[in-house]
Amino acid sequence: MIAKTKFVKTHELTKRFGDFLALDSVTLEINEGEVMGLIGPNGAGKSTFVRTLMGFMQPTSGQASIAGLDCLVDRVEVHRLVSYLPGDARMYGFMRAEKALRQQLSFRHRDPATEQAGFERGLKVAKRLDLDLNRWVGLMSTGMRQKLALAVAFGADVPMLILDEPTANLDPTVQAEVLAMVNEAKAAGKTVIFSSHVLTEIESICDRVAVMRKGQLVHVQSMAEFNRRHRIQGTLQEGFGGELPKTPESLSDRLEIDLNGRQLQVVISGELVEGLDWLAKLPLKDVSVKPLGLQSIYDRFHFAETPGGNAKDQNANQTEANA
Amino acid sequence: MKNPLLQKYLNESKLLFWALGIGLFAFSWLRVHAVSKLDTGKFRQIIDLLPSDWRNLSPVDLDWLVSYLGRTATGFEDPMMISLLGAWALVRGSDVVSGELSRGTMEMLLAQPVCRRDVYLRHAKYTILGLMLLSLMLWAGMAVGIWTESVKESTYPAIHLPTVDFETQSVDFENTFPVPLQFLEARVEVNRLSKYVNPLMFLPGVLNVFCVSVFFAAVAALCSAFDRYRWRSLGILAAFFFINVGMKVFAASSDTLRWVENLCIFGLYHPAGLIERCQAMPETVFWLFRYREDGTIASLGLLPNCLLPLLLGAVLYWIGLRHFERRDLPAAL
Repeated sequence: MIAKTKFVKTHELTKRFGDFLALDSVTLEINEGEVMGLIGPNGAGKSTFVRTLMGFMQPTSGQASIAGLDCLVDRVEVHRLVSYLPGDARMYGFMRAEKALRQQLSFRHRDPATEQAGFERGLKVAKRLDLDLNRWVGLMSTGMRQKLALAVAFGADVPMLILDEPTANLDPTVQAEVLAMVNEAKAAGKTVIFSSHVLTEIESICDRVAVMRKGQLVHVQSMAEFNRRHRIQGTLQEGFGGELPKTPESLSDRLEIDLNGRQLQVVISGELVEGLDWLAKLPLKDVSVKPLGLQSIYDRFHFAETPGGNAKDQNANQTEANA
Repeated sequence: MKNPLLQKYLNESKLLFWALGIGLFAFSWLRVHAVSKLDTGKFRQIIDLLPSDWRNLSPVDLDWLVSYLGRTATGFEDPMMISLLGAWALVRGSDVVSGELSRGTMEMLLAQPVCRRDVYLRHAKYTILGLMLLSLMLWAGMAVGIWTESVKESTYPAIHLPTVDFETQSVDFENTFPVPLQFLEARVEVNRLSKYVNPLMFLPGVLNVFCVSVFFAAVAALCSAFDRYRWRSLGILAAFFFINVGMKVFAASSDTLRWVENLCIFGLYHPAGLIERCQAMPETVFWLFRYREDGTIASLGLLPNCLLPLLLGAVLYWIGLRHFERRDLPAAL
């Protein structure tokens, strides 16, 4: 297996604003061509993390690099490689959208030929998003401004995209179009950081997901692994008084069993078929099998009482293993 | 890569530039027009009636003020003129960082491969270029006024009386002095103003105005580099501007308080005085100091009056740049 290049690396990245710890020793590596989802409640530090990667903020301690370039010292070179969509994208109200698009994209080009090509890419994106470029930016709605910013972000031909809540304020059709564009970027080998509150979006496009809470990176897991975790629920038939059959050796470390009265809940990680053989021996009725999904992980960390305590320690090993 | 920034600055400020430019041009022309309508003879009478301590409030010698050049040059001291140039310096200067942050556009701008130094310095160059052009428009308004306006001069018939020396009790019929007979009808002569005033004489004043405006632009950029909200930057700058004006007025109110002027930037703002000096002693234009007859230093010369604001401005721009390059950029509100 060919080792993937680590395109983004952060090591103990910390940002403090006075007494407030916005980022707490975040260590993360993102492979080239990977789509990394970033989730967490409001104030978790997602935006601070991506803004530190963009060099908008000086880390209090720790390092961050993109393609081997220091995110702070070499930020202009980093910006040549990265296209960034801010969480609240605003552009000059005194310009028409077309002019604003051309102006923003023209910063990336030195000669008129490539500048025109870049602008045409932006125009194509704007057309896909059904954006009227004749409007004054100052008179645009929040959603239209978001579309314009997306046209700027996707119009740049760069190896990496950082998208901070890209589908916020967009209608469902355009949201789907944005996800399709992210998938196309992934297919083209681009690295993407996708920050969102919409878990279904993360599930549908990301290779891995990082969960943040109160400035800490509390969990990182590959989506493939998520998709291989299932929850089986059922009710044991009346009269069943005995013990549950012994779990096979191969499943012992992949099963989480919770028996509450006659209600049985089993979470199986990895291959489901092996677990089903074991379950078939049980006198169950009303059986349902569901993929566990991101929501369960999100809830687990969102409602955790001490993010810096066990949750982080518990998942550090898993983070390492996944990376 | 450099043009988009310039285009951006041009686009966002062209309306302000033309409004101020037309204002300055029209105002300086109208002021020349007003000067041309005042009869020198009558103006002299008004000046002679002023109490002697009022001379302190005048930036120039009141006798020079009677001349067309003097009266036109005092236009530089007009609050309207200073306010118009100051508006460009303060409004544009304060826009560079806190303006972008207030609008929430800084993130999109700096997400592109543009270095902060380029954003700051290009803005500074454009602001200074704007000040230069506005100063020239101010001068052009004066020049057009001088070339197009005419002045009326009333001359009364006069009798020439001999001088009497009371000590020797002799009458000198050789040395006579005129006594205008104002009860008779005056003879009115109409002449082009350009006959009395050369517009090039105003250039030292224009240069001084420009240099002090650059200083204000630098203060504004410094304030902007440290601040997050433009409304607050502008408030601080307005206070700074008016405190300086107040200090200048305070210093002029009495000879004992004259030193206060040296503590404010307007201590280096003497456009009319510099025009007067350059007219009287053109050879002193590049002198560092102006000397009294006894050889002691009376005040700074033209060169320091222009170089010091520029130097202070450069230092403030540099401090602002250093801070902007290091500061955290807050997210849009």
